Amino acid sequence: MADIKMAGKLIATPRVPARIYRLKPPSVNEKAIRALAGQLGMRADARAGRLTSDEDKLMFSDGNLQLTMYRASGGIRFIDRARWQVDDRESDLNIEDAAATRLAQSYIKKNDLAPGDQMKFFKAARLRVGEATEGGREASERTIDVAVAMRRLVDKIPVEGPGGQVIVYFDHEKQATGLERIWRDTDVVFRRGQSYRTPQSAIDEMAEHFRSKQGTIEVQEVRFGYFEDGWHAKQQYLQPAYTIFGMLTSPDSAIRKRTIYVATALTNAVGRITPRLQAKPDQRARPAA
Amino acid sequence: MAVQVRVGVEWVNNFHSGACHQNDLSYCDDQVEGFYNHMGNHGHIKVFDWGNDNAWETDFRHPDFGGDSLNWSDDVHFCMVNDHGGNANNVVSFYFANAHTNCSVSSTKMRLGKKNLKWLAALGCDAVLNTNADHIVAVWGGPMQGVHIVCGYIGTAADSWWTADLGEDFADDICGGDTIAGSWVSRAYSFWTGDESIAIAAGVSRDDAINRRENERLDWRDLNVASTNWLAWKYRT
Repeated sequence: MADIKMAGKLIATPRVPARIYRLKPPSVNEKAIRALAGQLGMRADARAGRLTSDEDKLMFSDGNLQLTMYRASGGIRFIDRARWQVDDRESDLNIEDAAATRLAQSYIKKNDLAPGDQMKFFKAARLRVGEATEGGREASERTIDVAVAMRRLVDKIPVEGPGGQVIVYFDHEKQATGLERIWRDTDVVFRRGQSYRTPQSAIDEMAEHFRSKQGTIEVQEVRFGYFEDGWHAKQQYLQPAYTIFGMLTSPDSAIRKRTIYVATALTNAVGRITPRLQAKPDQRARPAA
Repeated sequence: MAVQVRVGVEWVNNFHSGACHQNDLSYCDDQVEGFYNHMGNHGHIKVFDWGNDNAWETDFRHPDFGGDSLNWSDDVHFCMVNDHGGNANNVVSFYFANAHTNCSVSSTKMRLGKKNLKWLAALGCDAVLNTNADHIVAVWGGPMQGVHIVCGYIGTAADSWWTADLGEDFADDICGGDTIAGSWVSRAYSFWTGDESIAIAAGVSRDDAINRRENERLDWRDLNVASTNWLAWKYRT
């Protein structure tokens, strides 16, 4: 049974009114991807580009530009392969987060990717490259791009999860080179939230989830927000959740690993969010060497 | 498919009490078996998938130190390992569920690429602790002895359902022609979970290492690194 320890104070039970939204099924087909390609400035008429697909994705490419739509989530990835994360071996991008955020906001607005009043800056991350001899001499490092993540807001509540964000990449010339967007369209309100369970009850749910596991989870942070899943997930409802960021720690070892558990926040929630751990068959014992 | 790549994976979710005790993990198999199976779906050769008690430190330890790496991790072109990782004094270690022969293997006993290994993805924590050049080359300069690229994390990584798709996405990318270092850094970085990714390429010269970092794909399998004189890395943070 995993032991749970708290590092710091738990957040208060939220009071802000929240709802459970039904989500529209994503529209992932040739018409949709060509329309989106045109919106992003690609040549998108019926004769243009190359359309390919697999069970997870639909892809449209024209020259260096590649647009991918994920069937389960409707998430999109748009990349200029000639410029995205490409190192020209000399440039060194120097840009503050605030300036990068303005670039991202402008790009998102220009391409109609998300309403400006339904997102906020989350984080900027820089792609750095470096080299050195095997002995550590002649070391050098540069920044070749910046990625800006804008978090979705629903009812002014931040959206947590691998989805619910738009990420825009900029190169050393501060030109957009790619974007990722997981932003499922909401439909009607499925259910109005009654009341919230406590954050402690979400932690108790996590403890139950990991009951078959040995070890200690130190809870480092609990965040409240709507939860949106990632590229490959079909999601029917958008609902409030507690996200628990924990650290697997051991009193007799310095070895650690982070863990993340997401639990519903409303007392009248729909289902559960983190899937139950599945018991998997053991491998047959390996023959001795 | 221009070249066929031999793939092997190892993972540990369940540790035992006793000498090898660590916190249990839950999703290591999802990540590496996703990689393994998708590589197979793309026509590459699935050589071994050793999990829990079947994953052994000797599979990574070079025979100079009594290990059996040349028959396992270094007998495939692409090896992915996901378990607990740790890094102290510029030495990275992988931790295993039971002692075969030891509970862990340290990078000082690895000679990656001495035989066939071209790419190693180590999904445990602490492939590097920080991005200081001195630290990166001190950790990986010695063990990289023919391997082209090592992929890993800066500091701790998440064991999480929410990153369980990483392996399959990474496999799909690189089998679709994406660069290995670029795809790893892109897919393994996560704004939300806080995972910070790094890929380190070896080269006989500065240009060679940079070229591999920026351009190496699976079809570079047989373009050997004759001597690791330079390292070139990329990371997002």
